[in-house]
Amino acid sequence: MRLFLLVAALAFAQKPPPPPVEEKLPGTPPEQPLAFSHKTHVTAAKLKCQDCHTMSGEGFQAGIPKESFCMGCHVAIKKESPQIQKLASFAKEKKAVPWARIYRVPDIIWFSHSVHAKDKGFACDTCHGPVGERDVLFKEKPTNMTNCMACHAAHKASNGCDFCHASQ
Amino acid sequence: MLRRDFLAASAAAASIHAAPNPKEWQVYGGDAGAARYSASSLINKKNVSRLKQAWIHHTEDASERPATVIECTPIVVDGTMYLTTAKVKTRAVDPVTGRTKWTFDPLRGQQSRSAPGISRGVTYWQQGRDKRIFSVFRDQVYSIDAVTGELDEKFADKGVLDLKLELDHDMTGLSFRHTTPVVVFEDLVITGGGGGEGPYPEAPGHIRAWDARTGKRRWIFHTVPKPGEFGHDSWSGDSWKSTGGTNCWAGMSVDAKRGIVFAGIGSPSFDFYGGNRKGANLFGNCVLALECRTGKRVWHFQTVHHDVWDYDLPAQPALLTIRQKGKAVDAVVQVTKQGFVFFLDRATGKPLFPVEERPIPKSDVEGEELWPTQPVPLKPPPVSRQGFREDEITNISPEAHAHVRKIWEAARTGDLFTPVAKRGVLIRPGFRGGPLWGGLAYDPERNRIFVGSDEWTNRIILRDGTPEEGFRYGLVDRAPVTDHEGYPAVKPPWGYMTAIDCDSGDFKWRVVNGEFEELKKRGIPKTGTPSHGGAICTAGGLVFKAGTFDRKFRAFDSDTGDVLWEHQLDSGGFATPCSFEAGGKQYVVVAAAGGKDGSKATDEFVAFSLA
Repeated sequence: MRLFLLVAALAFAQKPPPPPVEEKLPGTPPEQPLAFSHKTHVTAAKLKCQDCHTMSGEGFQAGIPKESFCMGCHVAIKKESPQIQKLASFAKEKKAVPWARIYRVPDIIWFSHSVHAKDKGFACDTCHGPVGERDVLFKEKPTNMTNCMACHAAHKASNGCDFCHASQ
Repeated sequence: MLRRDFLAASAAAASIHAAPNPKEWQVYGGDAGAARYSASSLINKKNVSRLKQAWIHHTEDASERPATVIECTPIVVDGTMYLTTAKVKTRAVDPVTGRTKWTFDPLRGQQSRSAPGISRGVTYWQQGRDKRIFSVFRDQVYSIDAVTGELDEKFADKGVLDLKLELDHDMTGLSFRHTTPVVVFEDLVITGGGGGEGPYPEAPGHIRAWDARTGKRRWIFHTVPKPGEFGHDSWSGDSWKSTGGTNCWAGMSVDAKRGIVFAGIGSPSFDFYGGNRKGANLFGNCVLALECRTGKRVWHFQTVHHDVWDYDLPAQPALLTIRQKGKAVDAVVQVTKQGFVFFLDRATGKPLFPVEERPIPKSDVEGEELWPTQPVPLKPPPVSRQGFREDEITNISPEAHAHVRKIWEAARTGDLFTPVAKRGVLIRPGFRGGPLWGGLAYDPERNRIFVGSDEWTNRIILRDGTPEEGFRYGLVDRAPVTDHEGYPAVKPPWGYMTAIDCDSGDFKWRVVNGEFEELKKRGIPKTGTPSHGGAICTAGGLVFKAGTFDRKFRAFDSDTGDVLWEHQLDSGGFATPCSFEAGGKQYVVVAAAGGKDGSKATDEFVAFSLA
């Protein structure tokens, strides 16, 4: 969210686009507003990625669940936990938890999670690594253009510019 | 050229129309020769300060994330405006009110999860009572009834021509894109487009003509010549079989009187390594003249031999009748990403200003064999600064200088055509130009052209390909080089508008175009900004240009370059405007839909007229 706000601020400040950032892996785990463990939810609660990260509309994004959605379970589970109480207060105030994003597809790229995960059947960890084994997330898979193109070539998908970009 | 000569030439060039009207904007480039000139003078230097917004047309199909972009220049024919929307629907609009008449959706209401591609506009064709709009969505040409918006089912496959077919190439697994409007001549639709220029297999960009009524292929010209064809020996071994790219993505122009179509061709693939395609690589990077009726080559002029810098020809060749030494000369004028402007004789392709073949350094990339020389026109001077020497490193702040210096020191740098290096080379002008697809505008009364240009730099770093990938070198980096805040890597200015006299080849004026408000507040002199889209000029003595990062739409004085009017757009106007008369008024219309370079994606075409 903070990154989004930064991007939005840049858009209205009449500045040039931010310079390309060299991808460093593994990335440093960013500080998160809540201690959320993917490992716990995947291994203990037996949730699947798409149970929480739904792909609405045209499926470009794998969404981040709303706080009220989380509270659907946590109204009963671990409700005494200070972290869950913090989550509950976000939900009560209808405020979004300001998660620090790990991965973000730039706006200029037409990447559909739906096409990749649903239609083509790629597992989420192809691009995101073994998220279900992590208590703390960090960027551990490269998501730069070189990797996208290599994967496209390996799977006979187009590498034409306009396939993923709306402008040159 | 006198105005009456220009009007006559325009009439001949636009003979596809029932009633050629130089005060409409009947073709993407203003006329079939892409002069981008409006004969209307209702808006002029004296009254342009009173120019006001007349209407806004919302396409209502923009997407912020992922971001759509509108690069369309609308055309106006017989009182109707035709345009393409954010998601490349074709639409007819009332040019006086901006209200929709009809919309053609190539997806027929289906949602798409792929990029809609780029469409810079559409093409009108009329023969007898048949009035058609030819519009391209991704790799398909649609023949649409200009009056009703319905598909003409007699054309190709129920109104749709698949450009992946009949390319004389195995297209298995390859993609094809056509981004700039097709051109028409008599009963022919002529298409360019092609595949990308990456290290992977790509589709070639052969030029084809199709029957405008049936969609049947009439001829094909192989931009990568096959055995027995002229130019085949400019490709080593079997490289002609696997090379793609080499396509006309920026549009063609037509000399209807001579029956010749002109195309500017892009780089062969892979566009940063050519060791597997030794030779000059015709017709890559060529201005190419073909007979409209047969597709036979008339002449070609190669602007880069054996390109490994992605110096595609980035704009339509402009067909202008200029005045030189008191005589009218039919010219082809081609802008290039390098910042050169080549003036060529339209009949022969010979340069009208001297062009020298200058030696360039050899490559040290294993396997690469650069062509030993490259063509350099002695006039006009390049419109962009070339090469990247130490004294060109940005000076807008110590931090910016230090950031860029580190990049500069790590890479190979030097003059234009510095060879690519595995450790990295700085290419300047970068492969976004220089000038780009906006091309130029020509004022026949003043005998001068107007060109917008940028000062980008790109860094190319090669990597070894893997056996699985099947190519020798791929890319680590091709990004624009900027300072730590994203501003261009070189000293300002970063964007220009330049007026060039077609007789002498000299600059008549040159102004810095655009400004970053934040840098202005820091006290930095006007830097200009890069921009997208081209300029147009009018008989009212004005040059209109949008596209700068400050989202302003400006009118320049054709004689001096002074800004006589400017308007703050809501989003970036990343398109070339058009101008026309309708309902007794002159209008100037530009797409202002942002979507790149940090500008919010929206859905507007904005029209201006006198209050």
